[in-house]
Amino acid sequence: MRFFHIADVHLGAEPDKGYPWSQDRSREIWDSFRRVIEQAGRDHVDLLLIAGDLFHRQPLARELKEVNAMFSTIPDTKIVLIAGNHDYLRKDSPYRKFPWGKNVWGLWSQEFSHVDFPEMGVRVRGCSYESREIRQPLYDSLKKSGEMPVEILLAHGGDEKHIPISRERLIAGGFDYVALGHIHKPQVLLEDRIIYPGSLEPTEKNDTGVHGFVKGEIKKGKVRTAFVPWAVREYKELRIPVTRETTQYRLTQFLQELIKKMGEKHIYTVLLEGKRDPDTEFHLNQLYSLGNIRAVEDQTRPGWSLEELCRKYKGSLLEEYIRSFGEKPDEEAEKALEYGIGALLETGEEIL
Amino acid sequence: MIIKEVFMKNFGKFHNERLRFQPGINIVYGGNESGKSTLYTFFQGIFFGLRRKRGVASRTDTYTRCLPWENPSWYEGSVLFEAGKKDFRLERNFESRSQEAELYCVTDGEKMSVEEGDLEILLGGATQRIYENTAAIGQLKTRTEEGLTEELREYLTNFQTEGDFRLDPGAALDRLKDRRKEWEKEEKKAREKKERAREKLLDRIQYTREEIEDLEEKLERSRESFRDIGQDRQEEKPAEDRRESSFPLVFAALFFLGFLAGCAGAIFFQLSWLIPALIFLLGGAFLFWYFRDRGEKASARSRKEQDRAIRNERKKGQQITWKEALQDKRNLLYNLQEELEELENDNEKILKAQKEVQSISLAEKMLAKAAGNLQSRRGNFLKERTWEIFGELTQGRYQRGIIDENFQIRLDTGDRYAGLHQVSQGTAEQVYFALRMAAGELLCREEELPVILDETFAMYDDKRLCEALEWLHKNRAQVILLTCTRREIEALESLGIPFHQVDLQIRAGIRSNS
Repeated sequence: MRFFHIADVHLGAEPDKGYPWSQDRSREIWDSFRRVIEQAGRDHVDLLLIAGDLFHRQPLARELKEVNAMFSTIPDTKIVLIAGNHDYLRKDSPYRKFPWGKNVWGLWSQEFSHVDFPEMGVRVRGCSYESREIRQPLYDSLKKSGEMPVEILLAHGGDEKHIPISRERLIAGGFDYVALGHIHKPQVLLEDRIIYPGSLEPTEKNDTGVHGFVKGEIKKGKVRTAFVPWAVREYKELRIPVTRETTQYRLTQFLQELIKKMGEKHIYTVLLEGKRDPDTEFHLNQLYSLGNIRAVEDQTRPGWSLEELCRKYKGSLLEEYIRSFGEKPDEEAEKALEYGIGALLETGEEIL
Repeated sequence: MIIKEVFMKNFGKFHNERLRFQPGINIVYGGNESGKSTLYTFFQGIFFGLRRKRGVASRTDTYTRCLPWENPSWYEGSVLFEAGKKDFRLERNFESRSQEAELYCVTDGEKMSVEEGDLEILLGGATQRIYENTAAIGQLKTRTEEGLTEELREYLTNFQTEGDFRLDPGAALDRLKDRRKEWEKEEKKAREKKERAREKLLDRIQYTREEIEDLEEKLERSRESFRDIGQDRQEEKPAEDRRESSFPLVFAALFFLGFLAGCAGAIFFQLSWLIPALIFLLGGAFLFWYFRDRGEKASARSRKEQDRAIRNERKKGQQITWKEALQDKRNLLYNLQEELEELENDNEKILKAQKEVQSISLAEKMLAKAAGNLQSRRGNFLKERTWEIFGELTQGRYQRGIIDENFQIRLDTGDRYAGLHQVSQGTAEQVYFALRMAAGELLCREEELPVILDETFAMYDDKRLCEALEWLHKNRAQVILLTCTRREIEALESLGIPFHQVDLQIRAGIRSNS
């Protein structure tokens, strides 16, 4: 028995709203989902598990029609869905009323329910969200029933507000496979057994790294899985080391080359780190045109040491100013220190 | 610090000149052109290097003035001094651009590093500017009363900034304000952008709401029309039924009775059989007509019914579509409201700008406070100490004075406050001297530098001179006094103050070949 396990597709999301690539990303999320369905068809997958948050918000009827039409192209694949916290079952949720195709099963209730597939010897258990948050650890006391040879738990959550999950208790539940959703970063809680595939496509700037889905096979009660990288692009964080020698021109050059090397299609958050020449101030706005850049953050500190300054400008206002902040300035004070020192040094003049 | 020996290998008019000094008062006696000013410059130059001016000005700067008369490419000297109970030798080559110096600890036989700040430490952090403003007192450039007052005021103004770097608190605060304004603008921009996005969303929400209302109204109307049709049909039906069932029955009964009467007439009254036959035929014809009419009516009605059914069906279909659309719109509305909520909670850019603004505001506050603190602390010390020294110098003739915000100095003569221009030049110079000594204590707290005086007491009368010498003898570890007269020597001798005398040979003002 072969299966695909996807989660957190977030159809309908508009990542990075207001940025030039936002519309493209919206489309790419749909495309990626369509391609997974096509792949499932090509691979003659028996079971497609969708572990919640298929939609970013409440699905609309026409969107469900679209999805159902895709599902109908793989009639031999059984598809089981649950609603997550984003697309939770509101009272008007079209999930419940929608005339789904024959190969589609939705576990549309916050109470646990299951679907059995006797021909495969598989039971899929799970529940949906009926509200935006569920703080009870619903999965903690869940146990494999033993009524079917293979039992799969389709689950969504794993943080404080969304069904807290305990790894130990999940393992103790004894399910043959736990198909998790909600956490966007792919992670394996138990090898081949309890897995977050992560979101199919990254949906926001914090979803860095590779994204895709999990494919698996259950043979004689043994599960084997593999992660399939699938996302069209990635969010990447670029940490650029800055030294006293770094100039705007060099920085631009460096960033340009780095983006070229790492792939121009990706979306970047640029962090400038290190100690810059105190006289240099980078024009961050100019950097945005070098690629898909979500944000540039200048975390560089001017390359001076406070002790050195105090020694050099002993007894002066500068020393008085630095000392007035005390031994351990907090973040705001540290910034204030930097601004003040900068202003004093910039406006002072060499006496010759 | 005590200067022990000066060796001018090649400096101005000096050539291989070695001068020794002692702790306490040293009198360097020499007539005009003996090189006292050159020596005075050398003291500065050896410790801090000689300042060079750029361009045309360089032709007359100190550096050029002190170029060795012989072998100008060999421009160097050294000084031997004691600091922290150890002897150090500082050598400097003035010839090169960087005028690099070498520092040795003679006691330990160790080479020190000037680059790494060893000399700075030995000088207690004093910079050239501090030195010029405190320990080294050159000849006053102006001797007029206003000139002196002006010089004093300037001295006090600049006194805030020692070092080779003049800090400008006002300009720094302005700079901070500019930067704060930039971030405030950023914040405003982010707010406006958010507001625009919000308005757009609110528009969509409003539009969706209207669509929902529209659909609800349509559905309500269609439901009403359904109810109306149902009522019509219920009202229509019984009347028709009644007509259909009762009307022909009366006729049929009448005909039947007529027919029976006809038959009876024909049998009993032997009337013609034609009469019942006629009645029968009439009845048959009527029945035929009636049933045909009924059939026609029925088929017409069933067609109407069918039409109605189709219409109803269509209406029902429409109702379902509307209902679905309504539900979809409601979900859409919900989604839009969720989006609005997210938008309203997204203050990332605004908060970032706010944070910067806060930091800069804090910087402004702290800088203003630091400047105030420093000024008042220093100012207070300076004022206190100046009047203290002044009191000692004048032996209580003047109690105190006032230095106001604008550095106007007034002296307390006992019965009134006198402006500096109202007292004698000697007194004014004493204030100046006291001020310098006080400033020296304030700025060179870590290492007392030798006081170098270049003809400082020329304008003092004998009494004032004795007072000054006595004060120096009591309060300073080393004093080097350059003079061209014997007044100071005589005064010291009469006061019984020990001193070390260094005689400078009178050197020719023009280069001699001998």
